[in-house]
Amino acid sequence: MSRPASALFSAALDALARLSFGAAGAALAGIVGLYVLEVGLRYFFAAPTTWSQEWIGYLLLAVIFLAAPDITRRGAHIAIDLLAERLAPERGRLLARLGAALGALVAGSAAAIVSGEAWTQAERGVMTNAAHPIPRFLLTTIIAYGLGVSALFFLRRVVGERVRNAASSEPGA
Amino acid sequence: MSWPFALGGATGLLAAVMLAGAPVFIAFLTLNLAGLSLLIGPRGFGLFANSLYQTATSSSLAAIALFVLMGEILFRSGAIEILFDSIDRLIGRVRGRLYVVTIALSTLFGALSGSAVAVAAMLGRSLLPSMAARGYDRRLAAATILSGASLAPIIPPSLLAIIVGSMADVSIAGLLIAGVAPGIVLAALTLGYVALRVARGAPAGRVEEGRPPAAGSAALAEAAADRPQAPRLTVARALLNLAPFSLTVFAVMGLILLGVATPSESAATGVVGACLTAAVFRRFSLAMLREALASTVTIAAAILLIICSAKLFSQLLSFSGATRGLVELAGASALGPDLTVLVMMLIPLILCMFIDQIAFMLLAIPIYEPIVESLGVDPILFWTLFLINLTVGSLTPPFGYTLFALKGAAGGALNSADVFRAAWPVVGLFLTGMALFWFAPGLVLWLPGLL
Repeated sequence: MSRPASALFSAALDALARLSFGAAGAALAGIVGLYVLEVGLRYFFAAPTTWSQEWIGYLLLAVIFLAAPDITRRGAHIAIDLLAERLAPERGRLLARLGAALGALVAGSAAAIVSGEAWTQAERGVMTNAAHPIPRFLLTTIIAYGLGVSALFFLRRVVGERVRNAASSEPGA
Repeated sequence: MSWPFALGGATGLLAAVMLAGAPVFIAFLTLNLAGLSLLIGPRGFGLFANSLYQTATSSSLAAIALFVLMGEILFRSGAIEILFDSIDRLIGRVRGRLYVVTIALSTLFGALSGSAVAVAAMLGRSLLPSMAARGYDRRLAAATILSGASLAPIIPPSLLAIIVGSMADVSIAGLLIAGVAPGIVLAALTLGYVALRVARGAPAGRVEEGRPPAAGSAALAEAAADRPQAPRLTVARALLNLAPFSLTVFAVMGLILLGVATPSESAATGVVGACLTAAVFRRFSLAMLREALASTVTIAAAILLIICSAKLFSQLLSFSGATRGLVELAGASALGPDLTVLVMMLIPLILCMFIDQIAFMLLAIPIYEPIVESLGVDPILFWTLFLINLTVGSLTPPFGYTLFALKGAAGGALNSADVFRAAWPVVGLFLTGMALFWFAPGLVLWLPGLL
C-alpha cells in the first residue's frame, strides 16, 4: 500500500529541516574560520580582508534561519511554560495547540511578508549595502524559508501528529 | 493612540502570548505585526523585513553563538573534568572545602557558558548529591551553586552582556570587562557567607584521604568517593593540568584586554583555544566537534531568532511616542537619579521572577536606554547593575528559572522549600553587592577605564 501524500510531504519536510540544520552547522563553522582568518591576516600579515565581516553577517543569518525549521520541528524554541505546567494535562495540550496555531499564523504571515519583499528586491535588483555587494533577495529568501517552513511545522502540531504517525506506521516505513 | 495605551497594550499582548506558552519569538513577531498593522499599515512591511535582515546580519551577534560553542567543546570533550580534579586538588583538604570548590567551579562554568540555568542544572545533578553524601549541608551547598551560577551573566564572556551592549549602544568590550570586578566581589561575599556559616557550625563534610570527586557526573563523583586508594594528583600535576585551560581563558579575555581582538573575534579565538585545550588533554575528536556544533546551533539560533524578532519593537516604541513619553516622565519626576535607578532596578527584579531574562531585556532595553541617558548615569555602571539584577530576579523565590533548574536537576536531594531557603541568602548577598557597586562605582568602572 502506498503511503499517503500527506505522510510523504511530512517526511520530506522533516528531511528538508534536517538538511538545512546541517547547513546551519556548516555556516557556524564558517563563521569561526572567517574570524580566525581575519585575526591571523590582520595581526600576522597586516593584511585585513575587506569582505570577511560582511560574509560573517551573511553566515549568521544562515545559521539562524536555516536552523529555525528544525528547532521548530523539535519544539526546542525558548518558551515560558509557567502556565502550561500548572494546568491539567488536557488543558495543557489545548493551550499548546493554541500556541502552535498562533505560531503557524504569525510565522506564516511573516514568511509571506518577507517573501514579498524578496520578490520586490529581485525585481529591482537590490544589492546588499557592503564593500562586495551580492543580490539581497538571496538572503531575504533564506529568512522567508526559515519562517515559512517553521510555520508548516507549527501547523503540523495543530493538526496533531496523525500525519507523522501515519507515515511511521506504514509497513516498511 | 496615546503612548501609555500603546505601551500598556503592547506589554499586555506580549505577556499574554508568552504566558500562553507560545515561543518567545512568536510573541515578539505577533506584537510587531500587530503594531505595524495598527501604527503604519502595509507600508511598514518593508520595515519589518528589513529589521529581520539587519539584525540577523549583525556580525557582533555572532559572539553569542561562538561563546556557546566554546563552552560546548570544553564540556563535551571532558576537559572540564580534568580542570575540576586539578582545582579540587589545589584547594586542599580543609573542612568545608567542597563549598569553596563549588563556588570556584560554578563561577568558572558560569563565566565560560554564560548560562546560569545550565550551570545550576549541571552542578545540581553532579556535585550536590556527592556533597550531601559526604556530610555537607544541602541548603548551603545549593546556595553556593546558585550564587556561582548566577555570576554567569556578569563575568565575561557573558552572552547577556553582549546582547545588552549591542542593543543599548554601549561598548561591548567595556561592558564585558566591567563584569570582572563585580563578579569577584560577589564570589568573595559568598565565600565570606560560607566561612561564617561553617564557623557557626554548619555541616562541612569529612576530611577524606581519598581523591576528591570529579564534578563532571554524579556517577564519577560517587565512584571516586568509594575509591579510597584512587591515585591522587600531585600539586605539580594539578598545576600542569591547568596550563592548557589557561589557553582558552587567554584566547578570550587576554586578547580583548590586549586590544588584539574584538569581543566577537575573541569568541572565535576562544573556540580555537577550547579545541586546543581539548587536544592537549587528548579529548578532541571530530565526532565531539560535530555534536558541539549541533547543540550550539540549536541554542544560539533559538536565542538569536528572538533577538531578530524583537528588534522592531524598539522602533515601534519610538514611532508610538512611548520612548519620548517615558523619557519625559523620568525627567519630570522629582525622584532624583538614585531613586529613579532604584525603581528601574525593582522592575526587572520582580519581572524576571516570571519571564525569561532575554525576553525581558529585549522589552526593557529600548525603554530604559533613553532614560539612562537623560539621568546622566554612567551607562557601563547602569547596565552592569542591570545585568546583576536580571540574575537576581531569576533566583528570587518563589519563581525563577535558575531555581527551577536546580530543583529539577537535584531530584530528591532537594525539595522546593530547601531550594527557596538556599536562595534567600544569595539574593541578600547580591543585593548587598549591588548597593556597594552603586555607592562605590569605581569597583565597576575601573577596569573598563583602562581599555
